[in-house]
Formats: sequence, C-alpha cells, structure tokens
Amino acid sequence: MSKALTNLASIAVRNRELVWELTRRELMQPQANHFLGRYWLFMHPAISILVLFSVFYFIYPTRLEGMNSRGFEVYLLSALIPWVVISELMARACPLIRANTNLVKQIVFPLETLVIKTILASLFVQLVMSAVVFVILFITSAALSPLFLPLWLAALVIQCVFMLGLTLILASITPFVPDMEDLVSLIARAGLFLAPVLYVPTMFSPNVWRLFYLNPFSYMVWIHRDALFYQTITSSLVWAIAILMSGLLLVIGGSLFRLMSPSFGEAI
Amino acid sequence: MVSKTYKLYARPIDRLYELFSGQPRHTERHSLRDVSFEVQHGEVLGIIGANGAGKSTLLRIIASRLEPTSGSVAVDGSVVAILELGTGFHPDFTGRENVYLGGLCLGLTREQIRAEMDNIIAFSELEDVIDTPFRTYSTGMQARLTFATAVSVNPDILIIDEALSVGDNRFQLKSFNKIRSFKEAGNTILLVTHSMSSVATFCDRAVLLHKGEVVADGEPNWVTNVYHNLQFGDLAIERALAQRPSARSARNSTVVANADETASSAGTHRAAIVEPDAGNAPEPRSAGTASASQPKCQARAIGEPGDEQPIDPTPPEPTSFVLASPDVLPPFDVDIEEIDRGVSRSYRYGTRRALIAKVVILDKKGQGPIVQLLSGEVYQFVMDCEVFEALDELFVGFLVRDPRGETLFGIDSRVSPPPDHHLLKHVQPGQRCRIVLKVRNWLGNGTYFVTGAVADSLGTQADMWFDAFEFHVIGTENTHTYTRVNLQPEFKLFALDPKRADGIHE
Repeated sequence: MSKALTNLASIAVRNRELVWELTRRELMQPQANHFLGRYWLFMHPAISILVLFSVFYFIYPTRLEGMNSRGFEVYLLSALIPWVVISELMARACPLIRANTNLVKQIVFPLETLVIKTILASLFVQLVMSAVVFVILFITSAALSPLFLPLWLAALVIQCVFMLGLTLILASITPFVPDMEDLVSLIARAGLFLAPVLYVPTMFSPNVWRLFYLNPFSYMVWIHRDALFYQTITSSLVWAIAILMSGLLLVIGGSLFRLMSPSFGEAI
Repeated sequence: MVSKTYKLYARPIDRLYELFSGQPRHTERHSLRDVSFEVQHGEVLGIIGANGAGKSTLLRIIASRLEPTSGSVAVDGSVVAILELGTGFHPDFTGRENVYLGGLCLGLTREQIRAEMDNIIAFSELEDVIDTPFRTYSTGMQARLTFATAVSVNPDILIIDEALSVGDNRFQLKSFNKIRSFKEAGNTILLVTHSMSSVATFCDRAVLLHKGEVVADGEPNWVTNVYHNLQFGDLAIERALAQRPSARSARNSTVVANADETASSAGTHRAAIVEPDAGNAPEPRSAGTASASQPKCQARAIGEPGDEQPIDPTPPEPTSFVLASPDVLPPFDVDIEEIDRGVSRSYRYGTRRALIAKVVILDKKGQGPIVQLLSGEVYQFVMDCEVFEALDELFVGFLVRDPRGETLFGIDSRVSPPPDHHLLKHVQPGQRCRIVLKVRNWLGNGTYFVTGAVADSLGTQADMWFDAFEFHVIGTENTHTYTRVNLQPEFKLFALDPKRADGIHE
C-alpha cells in the first residue's frame, strides 16, 4: 500500500515538468486562440463567485439566526466552492484514461501524471474562487479569526488527498465499467442537494440532519465551512473522519490504479 | 515465451457477469503465442508480418504498454516507442508549444527540449510557421513536425511502428538518414514495417510473425522471402519454412550467442533460393556490418567469377514468351476471392471470360517464387490462366510497375507473338495455359510489381490483375540507392600523359 503512494510521489517528482506542462495545457486548452486567452481562466471562476455573492448580499440578504455575523453568502460559498470543484473533477476523472487513448496505448507514459494534472487544474480554479471569497470576507466581515487561514489550508490539503484518491479510483474503474461515467454525472448533479451545501441545520430535525453523516462529501463541505464561515473547528469528529477517509481513499486509489493501469491498453 | 490473449466480450456486461459468476463469458483471441527472442545492443531488428499478425501487440508489450498474458520481457536501457506520431499534440497550440509538450510526453526534460528545439525545427523545415497554430499546418507539415519531435529523443532502445513514411520523398530520405545515424551511434532499434526495402536496408535481423507466432527469425532477406511466400505465393507456412532446414531450430531461440550463427546460415539459404547450385557460400557476417556485407553475399552466391571480371559477360537474352503445354500444368481452381484476399495493393477488373490464377516470378531454373531479385539476372514471369468462354484468340501480357504505379515495362503477345502462339488461338472453355516470359532483370534497387493481363481477340480485358506480384530488386553494388536501372557500371581510370600522342599513360 505504501508502495503505491511512494510510487505516486516519485512519479510526480520525477515528472514535475511534464505535470506542470500538462496542467498548463489543461487550463489553457479551452481558451487557446480566444481574444482574452488566459484572462478567461481567472474570469470564469471569479465572476461566477461574484454573481452568487451579489445575489445573496444585495438581492436576498439573509442573516442566519443564532450564528455569527457572517451572512448566508459566506455560509453558502464556503461549502459550494469545494463541492463544485469536487463534482467537476469527478466528471473529468471518469473519462480521463479514455480521453488520452494515445498516451495510454502508444507511448511509454507515466499515466499517474494525468491524474495529478487534473487535480492541479481543479486546485487552480479553487484558488481563484477562494481568493475572491477572501476579498469578500475582508471587506464584509468585521473580525477574522486567526484560525481562519491555517484551517483553510488544512481543509484544502485534506480535500486534495480526498480528490486524488477519488480521481485514482474513478479513473481506474471507468475503463472497465463505462457506466461509471453516467453514475458519476448523476451523483454530481444530485449531490448538491444530498450534501449539506445549501441547507442550514435549522431546516431539518436533528435526525434528518444526521443522515448527512452518511454522505462522504459532507465532510469536505463541513471542514471548509468550519474554516471560512465558523473559523473554528466545530466538530473534531468531522475533521477526524475527513482525514481518515481521505487517507483511505488515497491508499485504495493508489493501489487500484497501480493494479489496473497495465490493463488500460486492453480495455480502451 | 511471451503470450498475449485478448478476452473479447460480446457485451460489456459480460465482463461484469464473468467477474461475479466465475463462468467464462468471453471468447479468446491469441494475439501472441510463445514469442521469444533476444535483441542485442546495437542491433536493428525488423518485425514483419501481415495485418493482425501481432506486431503492434508485441511492440506494446516490449514498451510495457500492455501486460503479457504469460511470460515476461526484460529491457535493459531506456525505451522510447514511436507507435504513433503526434502524441500530445493539440491543433490549437503553436508548433513550438506542441514540440514542447510532445517532447515531455516522450520523456525528454525541459532542458533537453530547449537544447533540441532549434534542431527539431530545423529538421522539420518549419522555421517560418513554427509559432502559428498547429491546425494551420498541412497534413504533411504536421507529420514532419511530429516526426522531427519523435526522433529527437535519443533513447537506448527506439521502437518505431510504421512511422517512417511521412512527408514528401525528400523528407523521407532525411528521416531515413536520421534513423541510420541513430543506428550508427550503436543504439538498438525495433522497427515494424511493411516496407521490405526498409527491412533489407536497415535491419541486421528480422522476425516474421504469423498469427501470433514467430515463424522465421534470422537474416532479413531470407525472412522477407518467407514472408512473401506466405503472402503472395501459395506456399503453406510449413513449406515456406522447409526451405531452410535450420528454420525450426531458429524459432524461439533465446540464446544470444546463436544470433550470428543463425543469420549466417540464413544467408547461405537465401543464396540457395536464388540459385540452388551456387558453389560459393557467403561469408559469415558480423552483426555490425550486416547491411554492408549483404550485397556481397548476393553477388557471390550467384556465382560471379571473381574480382578480376566484375561484369557478367553473357549478352542479355531476348525477352521471350514461352507457352507451356496445358497438359503438364497441375490442376488449379480459380477462386478470385481467395486470390484477392491478402493482396492489399493489387486490384483487378475484366469481363472474366478468362481468369488469371496466379502471377509469380521464378528463377531461370523454374524455381521460386522469387521475391528478391538480383539485377542483371535472368528470371521468368509466370502467369497461369484459365479460359471460361470460347475465344478466337487469347492475348496475354505483363507489366512491371513501381509503387507509384508508373509502368516501367510492358509487353503482350500481340506486339511480341510467342513462337507457338497458335496455342492461344481458338481456345475453348476449360483450357488452361501457363505463360512464361523470360526476362533479364535490368531494374535497379527498389520494390516493383508484376501486373498480369489476359484479353480477348477484340482486345477487351478479360482479366487485368494490377500488381499481382510484389518483388524487390537488389541493385548493383556501389551505386546510389535511388538508382532505378542497372547500366552495368564499370569505372576505368586513365591518367593523362602529355608525353604520349594519345595522351594515355599506361
């Protein structure tokens, strides 16, 4: 198991230039030849966050009863950003191997770099979105807890491990079970409503709220909400589960990918 | 002993069903069966075989892109596989950016690419357009850039799958020179190709795959002959192999030390195909000088008298038709579909009032089929045909064309009636005939095709079979490789002596 992880790490380090170039291309490809080129890269995530913020700040200003001074817009965005990034990543993770048939079949190529560049590209989008939220926080929020930045970084690292494990698993399975792609796109669509992204606890009875503990994505949402909205650890259990689950996913994903990658050439 | 079996599932769900029930739900395709060979450092190995013979599967396994079902591959050194050109290239990025990522995908580092960038661009000759998007390039330009990128990688072992034939003729020549210099640098190359002349010019050794098995392994010329006999001749695999007694033992040979021995015995044998009773055995070749010593073996094998008399003194025999008496012909069935199958290049048309059963080249003793011809030697073009409708007269003819379809030679029984051409008059259904055209081969190096044709008395083609038989000519020694004809070259030098009246110094 640890072999799978050290293998992954050594591939990432050895091929860092390739990973970097692949990430750059993943990000630039949609906008290559556009007039504004790389500026779209920042404008897309930034503007979508600004729109959401404006709606809840100016049009439907909502205060959450019994909570801190930060508004619903921060409550929502703190959870929505990791969710959007993870769900978009899942959609790209499934066809990852099939979309790179020539790299898989034709040349000697470290396929793990494909997984890593997908994560890095997602991370870039998340950083842009988060930067916008930080600016909003600085402007609108009276007091920022000193814990806010370390917690956010911790949440981000946990989320990255989670995403890496998830992507490895999805990328390994989908070549053999193509239906995975449909399943995942369903989950990504319904997941917004199955995870505590849009909801506040007071909307449900505690028993119903507990159901969210069954959803692994809830933990990613909660740790980010702790970091940005509550700016403190509201439940150590949630953080502990998040860390354990992410680590487990990475180990499973790393081993699975190692196990399956020699057969990719046959399956696609 | 590497084997590869693909599991084919009729429906994707069968894979899942099999996983859970344990009952097999697939059919198997044996892509490779017990393939085993060694390649030495600095050796250039050609891998040939028909489509579906398992060549690409083998390369992918060697490049560790596929897991063998059983057996293993040991590789010593860095491997770069060019199984496909243009990996990592994207149409919207500029040529320069594409070279960059393409190089990284092939395993180069950033510094290496930076160092090689100018060479790559110069090699591709795309200096003017290198910073415009890749999609604006013509197909040939794209191919040139991808090829230039691919060959800039300098691994210990290079695996090339059919990637050499890109660009125009001039660029192809450049590509070949690049590969040649790679070979001269002592690197190992595995080359999959359908071009028999590349095998002959580049490879020290060739392996023939047939239905996933190594059926011949040894000296390139011999292996290409076996391959052609399989493809074009109606030889069964056993008969093709039986041409060389040691063939079986060469199969699956894993002992590196045997490689040279095998090759030299193959050389003897190849000579024997050309001229069975040739007296001189060729020199055993050493691996490093294989291609250089090849023509020499050939020349000696046909029994040239020696160095003091380098030019064959026999005058060329006239090109002539000979008609074999039909009753000596072995019976044959004309099955067009059978013939068409496996002959990818050839095509045929006609009224089918008479049909060609086969077109082959035999040596002057009537043995063959011969696919590797020597320049200056006598051969026989043989065409068997059968008549299906009564005809006043049957006209027969041959063409020799090059790979571009240009006709280099043509003859028919109307312009050159055979001595006993009455045999072709008033032919009845069911009559078979064998037409033999004796020729002296004055072609130069290269690949050529024989076209056979039979026509009725009005000149309407009954069966025109283009490029029915492919053959290769090994040109005269020490001429340029693009030499198309043999002019029997012989240099003579005279120092000019001003003291003598005729100016010649003895």
